[in-house]
Amino acid sequence: MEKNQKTVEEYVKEVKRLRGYLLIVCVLGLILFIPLMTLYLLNYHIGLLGLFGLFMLVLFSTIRVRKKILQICTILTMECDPKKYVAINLQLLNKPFYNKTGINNYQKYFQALSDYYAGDLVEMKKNLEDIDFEAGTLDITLQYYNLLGNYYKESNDLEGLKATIDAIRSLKSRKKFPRQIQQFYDSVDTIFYRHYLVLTNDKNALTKLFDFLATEKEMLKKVGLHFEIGKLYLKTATFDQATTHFNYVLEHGGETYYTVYAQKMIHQMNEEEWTNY
Amino acid sequence: MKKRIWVVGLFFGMMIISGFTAAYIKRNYAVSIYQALKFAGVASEQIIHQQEEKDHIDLFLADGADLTLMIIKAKEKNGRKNYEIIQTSKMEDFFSERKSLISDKEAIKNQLDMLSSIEDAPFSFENEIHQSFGKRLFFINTSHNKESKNVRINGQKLTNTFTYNYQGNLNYVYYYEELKLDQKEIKVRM
Repeated sequence: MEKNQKTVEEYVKEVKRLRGYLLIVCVLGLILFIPLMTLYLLNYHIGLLGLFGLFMLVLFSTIRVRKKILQICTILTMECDPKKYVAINLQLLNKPFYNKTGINNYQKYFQALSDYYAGDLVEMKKNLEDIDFEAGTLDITLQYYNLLGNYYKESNDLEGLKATIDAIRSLKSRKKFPRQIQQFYDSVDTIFYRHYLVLTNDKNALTKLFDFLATEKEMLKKVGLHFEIGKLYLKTATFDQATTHFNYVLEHGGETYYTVYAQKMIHQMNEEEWTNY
Repeated sequence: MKKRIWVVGLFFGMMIISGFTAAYIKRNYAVSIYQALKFAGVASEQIIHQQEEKDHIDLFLADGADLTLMIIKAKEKNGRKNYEIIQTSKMEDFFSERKSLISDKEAIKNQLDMLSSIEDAPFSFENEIHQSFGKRLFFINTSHNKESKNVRINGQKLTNTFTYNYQGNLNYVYYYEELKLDQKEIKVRM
């Protein structure tokens, strides 16, 4: 995918502008709703027309903001540039779109995300521990567990991963998730399953990772899978295959620690005796 | 969840305020009959006859073969007249294209006999009509016969008549604002 040339500031400016429009339309809606509804109740059709117009304006503005946010998401998922993604999002944590707890929580979350993709797991854990997910939304709770699961996988902590899986599943059994959250939960559940296969040295892990790879569309997840597959080949001393997958990571991994790790591995495989692995 | 409850609450709150505001405007700012009709969602082109009485206005509106009678009261408030619709009665298929097979005299008698025979009617509307016998009754009828203008019921003259052209046929509408009836005998003369 071709890298977007827009800078962080440009993205932030665009989203702030669109959010400004949305805010104006919402305030306008709040002010005009009662007069327009009263006109409609007095059988003046212009009232209904005005209400419809306002509804369309709010809908249109919301869609534009949503589209821009989704476009920004692709900086992480398709361009694999977590630094840029986090920098944009940190500047977009403003009132009234987030409350005080939300701002604090998402700040910690984005910092933890940045730390994770930079390979700084200690700092990531610290930031995660500062998240007040009791007072936060369901979305931030799932994001928290997602990163925590990744942390345990990278730390080869099977018990920690199991505890995280139990925690997230008990959360699911207690609450009925909205459709959007359910999709996210399903993706986290799949990621945890992958982590579990890797950490338990499942004999079919490689085959299953290839199965996941065949259906995966997001570049970041593809890179993550190639990274895991490379590591598994490395473990079984299948160096040619490992190099192929690490090369993919090098080519598409962008600013993630996957790239740094893959580069290190390829460098070592080239310089040292393969038998040392 | 709290946010959603707040949004739904705000929406319903605004709906209720709009409802109250509209009701207030209807009660205080219907400065003409046309305005009162507009607020009620009735097209003023439907008015076929208008009659001012002592304490109210009778408004006759036609929609195809249906006739709607509206009683409107004009109240003076803060030196401004305000028209309020007090009662609306709709009579379906009131107008017809063809002449009735029975004479007008018979039709009126049958109608009044039917009304006088209603006792302990389960419907409040019919009960009201029954109770009004011997007191006062609003009675309205239509005919294709021009002579219907001269109808007398128990010797009483009509309050008013008017015509309405329904699909090329002239309907003569006549009505009694307060028809006094004796339940024992109804005499109709034309």
